[in-house]
Amino acid sequence: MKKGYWRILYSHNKWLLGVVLAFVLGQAFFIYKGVETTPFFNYGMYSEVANSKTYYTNLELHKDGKLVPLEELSYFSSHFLAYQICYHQKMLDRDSIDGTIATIEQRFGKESSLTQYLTPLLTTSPEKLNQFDNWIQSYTEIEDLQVTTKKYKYLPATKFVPYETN
Amino acid sequence: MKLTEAIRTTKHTIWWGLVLLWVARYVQGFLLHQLQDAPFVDVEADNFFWLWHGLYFVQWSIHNYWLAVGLDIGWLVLAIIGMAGKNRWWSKFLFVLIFINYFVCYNSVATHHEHTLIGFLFLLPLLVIKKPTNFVLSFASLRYYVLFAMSSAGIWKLSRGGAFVSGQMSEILKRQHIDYLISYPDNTYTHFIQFLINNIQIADIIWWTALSIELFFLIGFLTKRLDGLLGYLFLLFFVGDYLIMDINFIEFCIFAIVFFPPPGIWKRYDELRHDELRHDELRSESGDSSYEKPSEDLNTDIAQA
Repeated sequence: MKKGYWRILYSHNKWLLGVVLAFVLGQAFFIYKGVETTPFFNYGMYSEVANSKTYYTNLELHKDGKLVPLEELSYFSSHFLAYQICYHQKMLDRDSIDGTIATIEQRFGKESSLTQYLTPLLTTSPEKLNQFDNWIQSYTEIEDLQVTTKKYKYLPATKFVPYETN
Repeated sequence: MKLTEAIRTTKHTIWWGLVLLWVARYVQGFLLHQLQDAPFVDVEADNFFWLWHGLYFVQWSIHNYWLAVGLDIGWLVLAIIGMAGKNRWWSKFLFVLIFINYFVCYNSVATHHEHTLIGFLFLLPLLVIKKPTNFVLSFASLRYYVLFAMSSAGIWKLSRGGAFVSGQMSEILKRQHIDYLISYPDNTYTHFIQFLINNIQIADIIWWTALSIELFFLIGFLTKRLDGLLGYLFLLFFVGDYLIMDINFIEFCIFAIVFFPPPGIWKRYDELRHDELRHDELRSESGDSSYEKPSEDLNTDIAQA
């Protein structure tokens, strides 16, 4: 970055200089912490080493035992649908308890009034899991869809095939 | 091109982008009134999201259909008025609030905080800045932010080790496309992705090319002369991202504007730089350490002009 940029900011708009400096410091802090807070974003996607796996897990939708491809389900985005299915599974894996609850309690204390106030606003309640079935039905316009977790292995130099433990 | 005209063109482009964004979001079913039934929210560890939810803005927006309709229509109407250049100061601030609210609401109910809207989020301040010099300085700051965003993606890969691993791209493709490859085993796109997965060297070349492009943006911190090239690389990167990774970052591409600005903006920026240099020279010539710059207010001059 040219030295001139800071000089010009200093000469013409000290307020903007302050905003930029505060932003740089904030960004550095959140990079150090490894988390994001709007507007301090980290662009570290796909930067971690991705080692080959024995098997790969895929969340799928099935109807009458047959795979229903996400791309064909909705006029709308299949990515959005995939996010919802993943989150639903994440909730199930945590016994229907939203992981954010632990973060709120850690930050503000378990019994504090702020925790009581924030918890319903920031988290997904277990009852919402029941709502998911209705939502996915209305979103895809298909009844009796089932979310299934399936494992696959990648045959070297060929393709994915179902993973069998035996 | 005069500075005022250049600024008007830039703002016009952003407002246009916001109208197109609204249409794209409507088609995808992502406007607030279309997200009313979404079952989950995920705020992650984002403090700003916590604050916005804590103030009830998200609750009101995603559980009140008519308010959501009003906010969605407000977005479109204010953006169209902005395109026409008829916005008042308060309507611009109202738009900024509506957009920030949308940003938080959408990412919360999506349960995945996407980066795709960040381009528009960061360009919002340009819409409300009035003084030409402040606009130019903010524009220059945003250009540095885009350089940071792109180059830091490469630096993350270097620091976390992903950059040096052969087979990284092949492995990422497996994880990224598993659902598609299983759903459509005989599709042409499936064969294309499987070809890349199975030919690790070719996948590696793509990986290192993408990494090199990201790191190449560091050069933008030293010179603006390569901005045209950086702009095309920026767009090429996201076209590749879409074709190979199936990641649609077209909304983020609004940031390309910082590499293709109307000429008057950098002209004014260079004038400011030369102005600084000239005062340095005068100071050294006079040999007077107490030399002070003339108090001419260039902002006022330009605004009056």
